[in-house]
Amino acid sequence: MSSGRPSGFVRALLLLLSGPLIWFAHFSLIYGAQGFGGAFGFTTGGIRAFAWAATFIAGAAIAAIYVRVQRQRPSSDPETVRSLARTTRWLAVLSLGAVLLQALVLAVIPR
Amino acid sequence: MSDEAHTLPSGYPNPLPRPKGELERLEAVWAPPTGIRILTAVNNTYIGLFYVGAALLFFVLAGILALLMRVQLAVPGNDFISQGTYNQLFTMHGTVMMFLFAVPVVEAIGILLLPQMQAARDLPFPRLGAFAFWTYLIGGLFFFGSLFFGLAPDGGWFMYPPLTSTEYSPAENADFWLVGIGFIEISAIAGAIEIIVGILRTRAPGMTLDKLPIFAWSMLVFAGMIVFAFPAVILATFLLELERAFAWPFFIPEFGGDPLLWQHLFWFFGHPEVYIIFLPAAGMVSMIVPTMCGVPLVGYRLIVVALVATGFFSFGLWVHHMFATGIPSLSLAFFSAASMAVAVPSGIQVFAWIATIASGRLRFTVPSLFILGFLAIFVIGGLTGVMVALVPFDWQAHDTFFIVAHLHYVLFGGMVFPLFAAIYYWVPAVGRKPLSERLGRWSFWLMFVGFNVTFFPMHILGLMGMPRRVYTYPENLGWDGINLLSTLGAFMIATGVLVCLIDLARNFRFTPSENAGNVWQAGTLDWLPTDVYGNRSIPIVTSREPLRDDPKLSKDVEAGRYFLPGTATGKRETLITSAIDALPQAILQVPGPSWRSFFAAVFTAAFFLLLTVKLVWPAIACGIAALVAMIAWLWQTDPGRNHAPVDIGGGIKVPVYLTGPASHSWWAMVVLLLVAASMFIALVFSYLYLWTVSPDVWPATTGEHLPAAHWPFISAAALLLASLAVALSGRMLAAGAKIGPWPLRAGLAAASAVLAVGWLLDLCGVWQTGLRPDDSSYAALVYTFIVIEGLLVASAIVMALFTIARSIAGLLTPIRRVTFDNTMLLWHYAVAQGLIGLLIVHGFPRIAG
Amino acid sequence: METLQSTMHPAGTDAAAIAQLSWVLFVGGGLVFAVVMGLTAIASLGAERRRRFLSERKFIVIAGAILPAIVLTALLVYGLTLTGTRIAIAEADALRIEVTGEQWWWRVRYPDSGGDIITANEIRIPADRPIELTLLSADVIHSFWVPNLAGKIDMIPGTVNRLTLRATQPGEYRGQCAEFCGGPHALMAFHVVALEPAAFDIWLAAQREPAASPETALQQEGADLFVASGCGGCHSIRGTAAIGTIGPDLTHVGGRLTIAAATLPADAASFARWIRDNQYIKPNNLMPPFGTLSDDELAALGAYLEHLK
Repeated sequence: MSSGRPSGFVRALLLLLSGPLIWFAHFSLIYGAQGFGGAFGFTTGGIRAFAWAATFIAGAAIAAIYVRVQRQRPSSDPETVRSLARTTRWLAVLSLGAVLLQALVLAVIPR
Repeated sequence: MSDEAHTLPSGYPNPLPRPKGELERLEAVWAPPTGIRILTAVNNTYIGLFYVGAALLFFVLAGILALLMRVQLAVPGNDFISQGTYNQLFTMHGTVMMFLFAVPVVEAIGILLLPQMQAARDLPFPRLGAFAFWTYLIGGLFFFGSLFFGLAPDGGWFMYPPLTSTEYSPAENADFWLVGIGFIEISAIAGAIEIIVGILRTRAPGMTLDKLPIFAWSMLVFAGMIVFAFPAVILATFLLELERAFAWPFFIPEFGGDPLLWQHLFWFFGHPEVYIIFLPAAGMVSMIVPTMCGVPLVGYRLIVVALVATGFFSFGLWVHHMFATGIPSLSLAFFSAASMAVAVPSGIQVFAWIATIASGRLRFTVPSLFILGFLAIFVIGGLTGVMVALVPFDWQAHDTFFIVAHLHYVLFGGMVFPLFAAIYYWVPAVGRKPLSERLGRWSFWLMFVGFNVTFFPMHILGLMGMPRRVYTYPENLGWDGINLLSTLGAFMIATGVLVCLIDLARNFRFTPSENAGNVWQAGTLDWLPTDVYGNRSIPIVTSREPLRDDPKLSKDVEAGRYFLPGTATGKRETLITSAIDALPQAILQVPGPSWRSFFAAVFTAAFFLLLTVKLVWPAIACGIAALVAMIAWLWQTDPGRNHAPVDIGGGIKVPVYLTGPASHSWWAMVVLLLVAASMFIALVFSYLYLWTVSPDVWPATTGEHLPAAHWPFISAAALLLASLAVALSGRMLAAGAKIGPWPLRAGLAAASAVLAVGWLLDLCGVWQTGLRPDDSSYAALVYTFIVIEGLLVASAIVMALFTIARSIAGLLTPIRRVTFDNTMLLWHYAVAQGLIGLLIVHGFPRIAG
Repeated sequence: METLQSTMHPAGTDAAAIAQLSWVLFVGGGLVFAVVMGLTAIASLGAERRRRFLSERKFIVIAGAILPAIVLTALLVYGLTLTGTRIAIAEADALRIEVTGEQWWWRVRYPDSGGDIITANEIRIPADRPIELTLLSADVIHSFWVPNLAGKIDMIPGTVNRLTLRATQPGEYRGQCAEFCGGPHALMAFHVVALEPAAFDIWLAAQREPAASPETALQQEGADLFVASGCGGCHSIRGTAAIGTIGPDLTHVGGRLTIAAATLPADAASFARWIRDNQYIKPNNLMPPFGTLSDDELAALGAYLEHLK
């Protein structure tokens, strides 16, 4: 890990936070679509379809990050790297849970 | 950088004897100022302590306001306090507790303890910390003083317009809130920048991110949340003040505004605020519990995960305060779900503490008692939090005493109890002796029982229909007995706090050099022996609890057997390390005592306060004085490479000066720009939001008021040109002696002129259409884009002139160029934001509708 | 009457559903609290072998993350289902009533009841029939809340909010403004009176009538004073020259339970007190005090207003 360089730090930080960041992007998108979509002339059905699509993409992205972080796992890695990878995975799990809760909302609320 | 270390050296601790006079020299450079010059102190120990003291003062003051309210509510139909005064009391109680106590006190504890926990000698920007403290103290005291003149704000701590608009609050009370709190928020942001850079760049070598003390993790999340949450409320206060002062109608429906815009902006800050307050307290708990149980923290990584996840999820909850505003149910449901999601990380933390307690043997000391009390109260607060996160339940509970109870369980339980645990726990680290266990137990039990007697019944009051913020109530609704009980409890809490204050008065004696030491047998670096210079030498960290794992560490550190055992350059110094792996990168010369930052703070506070009471000319005079003091202060920064790379021990040689992205000041600038970007995003949200609410005031409907397309294009071209000129100036600076300094100076001057012209053209383009900011919410927003861009442009130009002045004074060279780098960052950001602003202001109305 | 304004004594369909949810939450929350405190007690006081299971990481994950996630998901579904039902689309036979929050009282209109019936600070409704409330604000944000009948909803300038509620039994319920609206926010309450449908129809018919004429000399004196003192500049009394619309309509004020937004009973003595001392009784309310009127004059005004049943 080229942690001596700020760019290395930014990359490591973004990877660490990728789960929550995707959660936030997803949340902003579906709330934004619901809040502003009507004003832009989209139908309720269209907005819901968009929200479902965003949910699938966000869920898949978080899962992909989880898998990717799990694979790159040489035991020769320094302890710091392995620890940050485990933190990344945990954050991804919690974020996936939060995204799924939003999907539950879409499923339960009728309109 | 060739001289940067890539691994840590072995051969530590260094058994060789230290040279004579080394310690004396170290003591001399770190000697604190004495007498009246104590006002110039900037070292984190002093500023941190002043800061904690001031925050506790505001805690007591706001607590007294609460007691007055409780006396008024003790019996129905009471006339102890008039209606007008009562409305000021609850507004001030909430505002002071939130803005002058809760956020400052955790920031203060961070400033006081973080360097010790990381074995740094100081934070990277001591004068910024001092500036933040003095503006806060002076501004806070004046703000509080408004109560004695009947001028205190009286619109509730969340200041909803239109009640707080000019029409319904014509007096200056609301301005005190908007201006007073507005700039105290700026001081909080200054502290947050300092804390972020301090945690990421000034750790002990080897203290990798996975060995960072939990408190530092929590402060990192705390500071990050401030960066993204506070700008929203700063924008909101700015808009409301514009509306009040100049009738720019952002919140007035007749002109296309919407009162709910305020609520969105306020709660986008306000809900994260709750966690901004709670997370550092949770961090303190995670430090104290392992010590009191004599074992390492169980689930360290899970707690880190919980802190980070809470930090994020808390940004998805703001509408949770607006469930009763009539927003569509699908929107409400999204926020209800996010509110459920945020409960999980809190669950993880609670059970990690229980697991830690179970894995060791809990000593029932005063800090332990406060933490057990915190656990009980916070769990109840969390459970009621889940209740109010359910939309239908909230329809009943919202704005009742149930909420008053809930928020006190969360904030008083979640933050004040850990704070008192922290006071009892850390006093031995800064005082000659620990506080009294006997008085501490009295204090705890009085506060714990008093708290529950006060606030538990309020749940029932709320369910029985009592709304909050009522100065009186009739007697036939069954609320009397419960209110009386609650009042009795409030006095019990006050007695508990008083006992703690007596304990502090009797037993707390501040000392930077002869503190009681590691009385609890803790394992973290905050318990290393310290003196005015912090730790004698900076150890290599190889575990999360170094003192537990290496019993000799304290002795070795004190004997100077680790890094930087003296002053390498004859100045105050601390180590700069890399952000993840904490490898030594450089020596940072940190500034010492100064009147400049002190006077900058005094005049900044005076400027804002005089402006509030509409003494415009004195305000302008103070504003200029503040600017002069700031420039004088900045003039002393950027010392350049005034010393050859130095040996910090173990054969590691590091430079004394870094430039570009490796410099700590580059990091601070980037964080500052993130603050600016957050504020800009909040503005863009406001624009889109008001457009959806009232598209009829946008040009597509009104059919006028859009400048011809050439205006924004010329303006954009000028902005780009200005950026280009600055980039070229950077080249010329690097070229140095080959071409001399004049091309650089000319380049910066030209860039300034072009930037100013680009901005003015945009203003003129809009102005010549006849659009005026008080026409409609649309017009007001267009001008707000221009005003905010104007502030950025003005700062960029001031920085450019400052850079030219540095160049003329010979303080800017191809090597000594941090001033230029910072100017350049700000500059490019200003241009980028300006371009996006042009795109929105001129592009959006053309495509939408 | 400790149940006059209480969420836990529901008399409306919405309030009943929420009260049921509340009890689930209270009992469930109590259990969770007891379990967490019990575990804390075992962790801090229990014997080594009894607390060992608590110290594992697995325990944190299960008790701290997985179990809460399951419980919270179930609760969310319960809450969402209820959320969906409240936004009950206006039912066909709903009675429409328009309520406007004003600093610091409530203006109530019955738009489709033949003639424009306007009253204040008291909403009479038929029991067991859906009521569709249109909620408006004339100045700042208020919040409409009758705890026994339904949850609250804000009244926001520039916004029209709707609330459908149904009282399951006849009775008197007290409501109160729940969003701080400045000054005497504490004294901005009202009553909802649910009547048997037949009684409601009789009341409604009576409301359509113009105001009662004075019958006694004292009442007549009061009526004359009302005009002479300029009361009609702000207040309406239908059938007289008083046509002001700034303050509450007084056409049938004597028939109401209270005056001044549930601050005083609607009797002659209270009217007299209010006219003279209103700034003391309800500081900063927007009616000026009439300190120049003599006690006799006040008594006459009181008698007249009380007569306006």
